[in-house]
Amino acid sequence: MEKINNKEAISLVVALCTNVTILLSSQVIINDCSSGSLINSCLISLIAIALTLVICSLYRKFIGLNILDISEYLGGKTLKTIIGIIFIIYFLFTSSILLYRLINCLKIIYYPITNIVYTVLLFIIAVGIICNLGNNAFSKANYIILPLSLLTIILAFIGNAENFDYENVFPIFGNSINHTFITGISNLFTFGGINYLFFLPSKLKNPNKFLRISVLSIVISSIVLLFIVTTILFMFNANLVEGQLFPFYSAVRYIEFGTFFQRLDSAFLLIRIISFISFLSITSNLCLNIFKEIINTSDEKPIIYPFMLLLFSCTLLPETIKALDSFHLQNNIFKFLFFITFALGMLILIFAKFKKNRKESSL
Amino acid sequence: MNIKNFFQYTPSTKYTFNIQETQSVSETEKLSKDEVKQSIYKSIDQNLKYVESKYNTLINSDIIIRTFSIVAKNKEFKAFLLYIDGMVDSDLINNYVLKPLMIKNKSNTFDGTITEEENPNKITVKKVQNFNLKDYIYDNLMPQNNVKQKADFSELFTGINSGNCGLIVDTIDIAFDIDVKGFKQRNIDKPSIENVIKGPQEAFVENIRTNTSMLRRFVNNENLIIESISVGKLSKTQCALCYMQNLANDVLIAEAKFRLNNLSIDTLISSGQLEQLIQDDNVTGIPQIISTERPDKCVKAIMQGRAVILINGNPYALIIPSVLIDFLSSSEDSNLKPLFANFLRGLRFLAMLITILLPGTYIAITCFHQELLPTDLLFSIFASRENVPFPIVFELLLMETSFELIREGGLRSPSAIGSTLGIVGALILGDAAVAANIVSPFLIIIVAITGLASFAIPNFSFGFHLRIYRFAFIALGYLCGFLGIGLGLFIYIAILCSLKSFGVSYTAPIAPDTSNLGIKYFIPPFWKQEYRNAYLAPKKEIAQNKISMKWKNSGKD
Repeated sequence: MEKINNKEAISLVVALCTNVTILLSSQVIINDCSSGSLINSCLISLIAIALTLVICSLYRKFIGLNILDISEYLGGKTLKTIIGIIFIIYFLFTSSILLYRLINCLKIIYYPITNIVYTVLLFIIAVGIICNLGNNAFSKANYIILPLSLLTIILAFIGNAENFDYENVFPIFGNSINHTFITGISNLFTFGGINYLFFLPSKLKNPNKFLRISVLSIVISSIVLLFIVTTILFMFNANLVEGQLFPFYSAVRYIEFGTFFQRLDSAFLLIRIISFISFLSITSNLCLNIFKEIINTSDEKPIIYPFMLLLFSCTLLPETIKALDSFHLQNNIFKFLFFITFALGMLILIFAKFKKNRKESSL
Repeated sequence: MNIKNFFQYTPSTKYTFNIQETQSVSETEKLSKDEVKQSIYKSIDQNLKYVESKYNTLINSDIIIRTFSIVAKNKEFKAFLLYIDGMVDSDLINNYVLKPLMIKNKSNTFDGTITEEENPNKITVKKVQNFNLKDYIYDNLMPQNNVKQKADFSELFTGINSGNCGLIVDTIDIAFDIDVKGFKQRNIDKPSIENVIKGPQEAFVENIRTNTSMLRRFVNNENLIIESISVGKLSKTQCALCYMQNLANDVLIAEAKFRLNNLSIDTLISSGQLEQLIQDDNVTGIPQIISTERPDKCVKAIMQGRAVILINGNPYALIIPSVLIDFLSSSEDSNLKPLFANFLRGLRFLAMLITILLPGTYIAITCFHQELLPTDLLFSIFASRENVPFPIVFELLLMETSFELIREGGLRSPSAIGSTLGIVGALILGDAAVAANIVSPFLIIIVAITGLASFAIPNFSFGFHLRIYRFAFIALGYLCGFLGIGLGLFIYIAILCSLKSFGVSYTAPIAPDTSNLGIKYFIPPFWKQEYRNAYLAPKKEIAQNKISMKWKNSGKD
């Protein structure tokens, strides 16, 4: 498999975090912490950076290995398979939840009479084609697209600056200190890209730069999170955010650059679609790679279309089971899956480190 | 029609001619006779028969076999000359081949060779050497600078087919391949497609030796290697792989040779065919090898550590490897100041985006995202479409197809009326279409801008692929607006990123971001171009000293 360089690796993690932030977590943070969202964002950013440092220090003993290799070292093929499947479920469900949310937005904004199935199908076909291209095409394409995606976020912030209501930040600690500092920690799921770090070392051209790549990517993601949360919080009262489907898009609708560019929201949505297809191709490729490693095959092409079918089915689950079509439930599933996978990854690393230390000391 | 004939059977008078398709290839054909090497016979009669049968001299009028006798050492030997009329210089054959061989003089009537040796006692000893006809002819009767001895017919025929003449003499089992080329060829002319305002005004011609000499002259360095490789079992087209041995990556050169030497084809006629045969991917239609008529562009590529392939009979050279930004670069860029060159490069990138996206985006905006346009502009667009009876996609496809027809018509017509056809097509047809309410004037503007932008792409093949992909974006824009455009655009970028040209990523040096050294899309001033591009992995990365303008420092003292 072709290895990726440092900048591409950073852009992969940032793309994962950015898409989660824009489509889901920014809204969750503002719902949970209200005016304390900015402080909560800073807090979770610091925790994310600290956790990243912990992951990197644990990886020092396993340079160039991913979590699957480490779990195989720790508990053999059985543990490797279990861990692999759990991570596949995490990436599959998070992708499908976000895809479902984006498609619902698109349905309301542009395609009110089109069946959601066709829109999902378009995304699935596109991801299938990209996965078929191989050669790490998705990571290079993501590296090209990401600056554009980040630029739109900054432009949205700058463009809306004149509409900002700075009073929305008060009371600064939000609903309560408990909400902002204790339960608000659950918003750490916004850094979903941290879970990708468990698989990054084996993909890198230069695994020795893992620490720098991880920290940089989380720092950039934190800045992006702050930009997005600030834009939404200063634009709308926290109580208004809850009822919206895509608050950042709503914020962009207020941007006006002169008399010609009065409504730039569709251009913004174009960039978001491109950015999201990039997100989907990253997660799908990762799932395929995990599956490839579990079943020990060299060619992933035969499993691309069954996996796409799985993604398609998972995305349409809320359409079939209406109970799942709830923002809070989807958000809780996302959080639950994130913490389970993250904790498992950390535990595997810690135990594997103990095992290695014991082996080294016995020698 | 006659009623009587209607009920009467009349056999078809239409002339049809079909060639029966071969169902299977026989084993004997698989091992073609052309591939079997036949040594030169000692008997001249056998050689003559073989040559006559191979060249079908009874049918071919331009194959000349001139039989005559050679006198050597006072002995007469039968011989014949074989050449193709029109490809050789008659004067050269008469004066420097036939004359020395046929005219009897003292040297060829003497029956023994005498050499003189001076021993230490200052006594001259005369020795009579053994007579060897082959050496004798080569040493004494061939006043030619380029004569090769060939042991088998296939090698001899390759020379004859390229304009040499063959001499076969009785009793010896080798033939002489004598360089007497004298065919008419096009003179070195101005480039017809890749024009520049400042810079060399020379283009390649059909003759490979003229082209290699142009490269030699430009490069002016002994490290330039020009390796000859013949491609095609029947045509044996001479190709030349040119590179700097101290710059080009060995793996790249080995790969190029491997691909060229492993082409199992009968005939190679053009550089376009060779491009298809050696490029990595032929499915997407995106060109991965630059084809150029400019020697200066080739020299620039060679000096960067790339390789150039020249094909005999074709005025285009192939540059390998080539990446995306090379297709948007022009030879003009290196002749201009960096500010102007970068402005043009930016313009070309914009042209690329317009060519591929503008019609699709227009259709997406008018069908799905009208809010993006200011209200006044939106009203004027819809007002201009008020009397147009067709759906917007049909209107757009009609105009795009018409534009392509005008372009193709202008290209295929004689040059005198080609430009007129373009003007007539664009002005009169467009005006008439608007007047007849077939298309809206706004759409004419969109199609015209797209057409102009496509002309700004310096590489013809690259521009062509953009024109084709544009139709896919029109379909996507019409079907699902920006959603389709967005998905299509990401897939297109991913396709570009997945391509490789001779092992180099097509989107290098942007993705993967190889190194800060070397030139990226925008070029620095010439004095700052200190490194060769890292993605080519050249043997020498440093192209010039850190301080190239030493004269500036010399004045400081």
